[in-house]
Amino acid sequence: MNFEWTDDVLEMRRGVISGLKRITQTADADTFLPGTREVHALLGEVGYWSRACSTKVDPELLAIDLALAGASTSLYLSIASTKTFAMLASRLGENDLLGAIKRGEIVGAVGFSEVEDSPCEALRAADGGLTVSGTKSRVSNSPVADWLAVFADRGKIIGFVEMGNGSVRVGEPVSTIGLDGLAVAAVYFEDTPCPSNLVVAEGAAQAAMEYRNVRDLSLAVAAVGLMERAIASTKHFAEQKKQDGKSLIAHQLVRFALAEMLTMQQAGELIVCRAAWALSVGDAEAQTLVRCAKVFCTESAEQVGIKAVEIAGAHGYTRGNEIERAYRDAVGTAVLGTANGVARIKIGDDLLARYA
Amino acid sequence: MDFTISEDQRMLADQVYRLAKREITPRVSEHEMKAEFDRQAWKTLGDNGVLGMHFPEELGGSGADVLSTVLVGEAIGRAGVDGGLSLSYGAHTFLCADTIFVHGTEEQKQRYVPKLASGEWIGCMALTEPGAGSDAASLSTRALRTDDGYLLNGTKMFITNGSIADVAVIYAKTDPSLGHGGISAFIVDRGTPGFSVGKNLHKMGVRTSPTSELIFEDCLVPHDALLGVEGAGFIMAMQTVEWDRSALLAPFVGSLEYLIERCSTYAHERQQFGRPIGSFQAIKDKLAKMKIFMETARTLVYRIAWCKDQGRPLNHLEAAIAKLFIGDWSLGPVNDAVTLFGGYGYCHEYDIERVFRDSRLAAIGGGTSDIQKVLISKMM
Repeated sequence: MNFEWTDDVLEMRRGVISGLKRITQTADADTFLPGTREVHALLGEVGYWSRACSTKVDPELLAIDLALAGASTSLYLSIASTKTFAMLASRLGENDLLGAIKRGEIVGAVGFSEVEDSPCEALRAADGGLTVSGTKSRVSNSPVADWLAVFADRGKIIGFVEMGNGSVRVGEPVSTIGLDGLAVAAVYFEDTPCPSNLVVAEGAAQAAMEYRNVRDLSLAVAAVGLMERAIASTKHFAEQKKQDGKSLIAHQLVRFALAEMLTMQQAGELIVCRAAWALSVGDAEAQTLVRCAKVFCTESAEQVGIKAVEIAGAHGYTRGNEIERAYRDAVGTAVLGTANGVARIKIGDDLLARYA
Repeated sequence: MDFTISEDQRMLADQVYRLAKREITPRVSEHEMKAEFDRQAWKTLGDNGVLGMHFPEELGGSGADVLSTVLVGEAIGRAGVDGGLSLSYGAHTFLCADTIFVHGTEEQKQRYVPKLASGEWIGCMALTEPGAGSDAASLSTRALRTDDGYLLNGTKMFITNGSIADVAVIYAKTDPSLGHGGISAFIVDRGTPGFSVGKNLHKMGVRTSPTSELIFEDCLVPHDALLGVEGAGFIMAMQTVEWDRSALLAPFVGSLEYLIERCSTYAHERQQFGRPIGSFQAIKDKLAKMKIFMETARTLVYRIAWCKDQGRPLNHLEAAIAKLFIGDWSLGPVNDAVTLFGGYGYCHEYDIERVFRDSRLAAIGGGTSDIQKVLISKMM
C-alpha cells in the first residue's frame, strides 16, 4: 500500500500548476472556457495525454486531475471529456488521431446519452464503415470539440467523427444551473459517414462500461476539487470578515463547519484514489467502488457548498464568487453521469448479488 | 498510489476472521447481555498472537506492520466480535503495551511486553479523570517525587479494562506549574498498596469491556516505574491516542462489513408484500449507504496505518479526520441497519442493536467528535 504519488507524476503536476497560473492570467478564471484549448495543449506538453491514451485507467494521473479540478470544475470536466474520448480512441490503435490527442491538439467529446425518440443508429457498410443517424443529448465539450466519439446501436458500436462535417450539427449550448464554463449541447447526426479505420465494433460493450466508470470517477474528482476550492474560499472569507468584534473564523461553529468540510474533502479524495486504483488493477469490486466514490464525493460537495454559503452569508448568495459557484456546480456533479439515486440502487444490487 | 493488500496480509486477516467466527462470535451474546468480560475469548486472542502482533518476536509479537494489525482488527469486527472485546484489545495492546514498548527502558519492556503480548497480563491506560477528559492539562492526579519513589494521589475515570488490568499506564502531574509539560507517565502494577479499583460503570454499549474508576491514595511506586522522563507524558499520551484514531477504529470498520452482510442476507430472506424486502428500492438504498460509508471509512483508516508504517510519529490531522468521520458519519448507516431489520433490529436476539449501541462510542471515546473538530480546524 502506498498513499504517495510517484515522482514523475509529481513533476508533471508541478508543470501543470505553473502552466495553469500562466493561462489564468489571460483566460477567464470564472468560466475557464476560453482557456480550455490552451490547457489541452499544456497537458500535451507535460505528457499527460500520452499516458491518458490507453484503454487502462492510470490511477497516477489522478494527481493531475485533482489539481485541474482544484483550479476549475468546468475546466476539469472539459479535460475529462477529452480524456474519455482518448481512452475510447486508443481502441483504434496508433493512428494520426491518437498522435494529435497525445500532442494536446484535440478537444474531444463523447456522445453517449440519447433521447428515446431519436436513438443513434448505425448503417454498417460492407467495408466496415458506418453511417450514423440520430441524436445525442447533452454532450459535454460538443460546441468546442474537434472530434467526437459516438456510441450507436445501443452501445454496440463506436464511431469517431470529425466535427465540422456537414452531416453533424451541434445544438445551442444548454443553459444550466452551474458549470458555467462547460460547453454542453445536443449533437444531431444525419447520415454521418464514419470510415472503417475510425470504427470500434469489437469490445464496444466493454468500452461503454469502462466509459461509464471513468466518467463517473471524473465527476467524483470534480467534486473533490470543488470542495477543496470552496473550503479555501470559505476559510479566506471567514478570516477577513468581522462579526461581533472578532473575525468569523474565531467563532467555534464556523471552525467546526470548516473541519467537517475538510473531513468530507479528504475522505472523498481517498475513496476516489482507491476507486481509480481498483479500476486499474481490475479489482472485482471496482465498479462498486466507483459508484461509492461518485455518490460520496458529489453529495459531500453539495453539503460543502451549503455549509460554505451559510458561512459566507449574503456574500455566498451573491453571484460571481467561488462560494456560490461551488454551490451551483456541486449539483451538476451529482446529477451528471450515473445519477446518485441510480448509483445507490446499483450498489444495493451489487451487495444483494454478493450475499445471495 | 497503491492500495494492494499483500497475499500474506490477506491470509493473516482471513485466518483471524475464521478463528474469531468459530471461537469468539458464538460467545458474544451471552457475555454481552451479562456485561461480562469474556476471558476465554481473550485467551483465544492471546494464544493466537493477536494481542501483540506488532511487537518484535523477542518480545512475544510477530513483528507485524501497522497495516497488518489494522487488517486483523477489521477481520475481528467482520467476524461479528463485539465492540467490547475489540475495545479491551485496543486499550490493552495499543494504549498500554505499546506505550511501554515505545517509551520503556529495556528492563521495563522485558518485564511487561511479553506477558501483555500473550494476554497473560491485561493492561489498561489511565489518562481521563472525573474533571479532566480531553483537557489533559487540567489533570489533578499528582505524582510527588520522594526519596523512595513517586507518591501517586488522584482518581481516574472511564478506564477501559480498569477492573481487570494487571498493569496500568498512569498519567499524573509531576509538576503542576508546567501544564502539559508537567505530565509524566508511570507503570503501576495491580496490587500496589494505595491503588484500588472503584465502581464499574454500566454502559449502553461495548458492555463486555469493563470500564472503571481507578483510585490512587498515597500509592508509592518505585522511581523505575516512570516511563521515559519526567514531563514527557503528554507527548506519550498524544502518540497513544493516535492508535485510538487508527487501529482501534479498524474493528469498527469490520463491524460495518458484518452489518452489511447480515442486512443483505436478511433482505433476501425477509418477505413482505409477497416478495423479499431486498427487491424494494428503499432497502437497496440503505444497503448502499452502509457500503459507501464503510468503504470510505476503511480508506481513511488504511491511510493512518500507512502513515504509521512510514515511521511518522504523529499524524494528528489524518487521525482526527478518520476519527471524526467514523464517529459522526456512522450514525446514519448503523441506524439504517436497525431499521432494515424492523422489530427484530430492536431486539436483543438479533445482534444488530448491539452493533448500534457499540457504535455510539466511536464519536465519544478517544476524544469526542467536537475535540476532533477543534484539532482539525487548528491544523487547517
